[in-house]
Amino acid sequence: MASKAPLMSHSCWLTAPSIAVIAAVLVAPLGLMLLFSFWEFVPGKITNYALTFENYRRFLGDAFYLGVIAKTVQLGVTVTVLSLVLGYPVAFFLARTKSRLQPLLVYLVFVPMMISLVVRAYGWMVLLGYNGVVNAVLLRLGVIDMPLRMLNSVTAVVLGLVEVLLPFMVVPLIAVLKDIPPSVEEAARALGAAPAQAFFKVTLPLSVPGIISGSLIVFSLAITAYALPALLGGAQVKMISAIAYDSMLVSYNWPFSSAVGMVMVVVSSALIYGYLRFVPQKAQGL
Amino acid sequence: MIQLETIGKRFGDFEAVRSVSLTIGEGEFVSLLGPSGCGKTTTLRIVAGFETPSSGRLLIGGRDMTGVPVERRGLSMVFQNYALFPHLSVFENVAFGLKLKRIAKPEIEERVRKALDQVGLVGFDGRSPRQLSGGQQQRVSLARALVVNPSVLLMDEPLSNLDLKLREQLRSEIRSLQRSLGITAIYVTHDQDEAMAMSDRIAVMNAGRIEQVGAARDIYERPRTTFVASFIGQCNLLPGTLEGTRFRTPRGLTMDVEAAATSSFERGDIRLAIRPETIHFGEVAAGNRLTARVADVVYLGDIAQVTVAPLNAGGAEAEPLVAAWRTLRGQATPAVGDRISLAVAPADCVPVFERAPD
Repeated sequence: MASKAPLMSHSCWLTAPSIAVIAAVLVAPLGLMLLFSFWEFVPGKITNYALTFENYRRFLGDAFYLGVIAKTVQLGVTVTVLSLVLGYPVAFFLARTKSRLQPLLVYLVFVPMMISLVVRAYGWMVLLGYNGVVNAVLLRLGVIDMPLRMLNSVTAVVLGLVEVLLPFMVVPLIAVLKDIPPSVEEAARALGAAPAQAFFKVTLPLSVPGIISGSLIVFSLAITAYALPALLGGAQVKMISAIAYDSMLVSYNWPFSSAVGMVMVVVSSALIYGYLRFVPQKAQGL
Repeated sequence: MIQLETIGKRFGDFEAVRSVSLTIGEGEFVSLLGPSGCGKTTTLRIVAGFETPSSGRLLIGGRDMTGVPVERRGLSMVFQNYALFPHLSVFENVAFGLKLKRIAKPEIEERVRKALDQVGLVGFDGRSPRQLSGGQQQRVSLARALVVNPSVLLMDEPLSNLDLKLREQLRSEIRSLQRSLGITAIYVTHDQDEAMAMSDRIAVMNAGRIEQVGAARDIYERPRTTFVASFIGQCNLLPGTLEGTRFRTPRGLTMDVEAAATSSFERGDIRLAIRPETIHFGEVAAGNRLTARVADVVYLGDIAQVTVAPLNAGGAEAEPLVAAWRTLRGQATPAVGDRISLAVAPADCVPVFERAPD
């Protein structure tokens, strides 16, 4: 990874086009957003050039908004843990199977990503709705007397997000698990470890980099998700991204919206920094 | 003692191991030698318990191993790729098996130190396997396997990833450790030198079968099949038929064979195996005497490989033979076109089966 070549070799100019694109479409807007977040909000005006910390004070000092942050993080953790628990066995199977169908099976993990997120959200609505498939089946089987309210709840949002984000957990896990030679596990077995012991003492610790990469990706996508929580959670589930959206497009408070966005940027950057800092380079996987 | 009784293993349509029977005594060092795909690694993995045999039975210490999982067979294994635990230090790697047995900490420390001392890695406890060379990693893996006092040590091409010097050094170290600890060992290799240098007995495998089992010297001097004769060392393999003790090739070369060697060759396709170094240059009073034309000479340092065309009774050139000329400083090797006299003792003419008998 760390090349010994001089930092400014001629070949570094090859990266110039992509750096230009990143600077124009990512760094510049981010800088603008940073600037916006310190501007004073005057209703009816989008720009007012007076600098203030008021936007941050309002977001981070208000019990309502802090509650939203806490709920968002809680939801992110729930989605991440569920994706890990559901995704690990899938990744383990796909990494170890000797089936000729293995490439096809890995492809199947990706297939849902080719369908629009909105379509999938409507799919969940059909399943979970008041007159939806799940309720109809349960009613017919006599398990329930009254249809359950499943939509517009945190549960629905969690279900939807896990379904959408699962591939982001499975793929890095496959990569890491495939890199662990089966002989390492076999060596543990030969030294007296039962299959479960070999897994928990050898395979699981060696797959930690994949667990961390997958969890970081899923967590950051989950806490910044907007469309799916809006469609499946309705007014019941307010997440940070919904706050930012509302203040941007409903109350036209761009400075506040920018401050909310900046807090999200800082949180996800801190996560990625932590990953690069505390997970040994060689074990980072991706 | 390990007993393999008519062990077979199929993977779908592929028969990896066919009816392998082998008994390995207490404290014996046996090598499974053969080319890749001959079934030697599969056989080892069946003994380890990583593969279940499709047929036959395996006994270790008289106990039937059917249904006994790897971790309860009381054996240790050393792998070609070392298979060290990269997330653990050298000390923790070696201590792994002892910790599983819930042995007290002070005893673990003592035994790990002793094991690291045995493989010459004192002071490496705290290192990560990644910081070690290939040879050092394989030493750690050996210490890790020996520290649990296994009754059987299985080794799957442990030296194949190392360079020649290190390989030669480690093979004598492994052998002397195995001897001093009195462990029964099975060693899988495709390297004939390794097998000859280390083993009490060698089982030569080909296409899923054991073609011959015996001490290195038996296998080299008395091969039973063309495969064994040609896989170990160099060998001339003349086609032909045996009548009594006389072997005759299609082109009319005749060779006398020792009577004792002919007993089992009443039937089947056979060949006559003659090692290049058993062909004598010059006139000899007794044995098979030949006159030959030198067809090619390749100088190899200690020997020169001389290809000759021996003449049959009618004076025509018969099947070519390769002979080894021991080179001496200042002494000329035979030259191409020379007419020379050769001799082979009947004891050095070994009839072998074309194929392994079923």
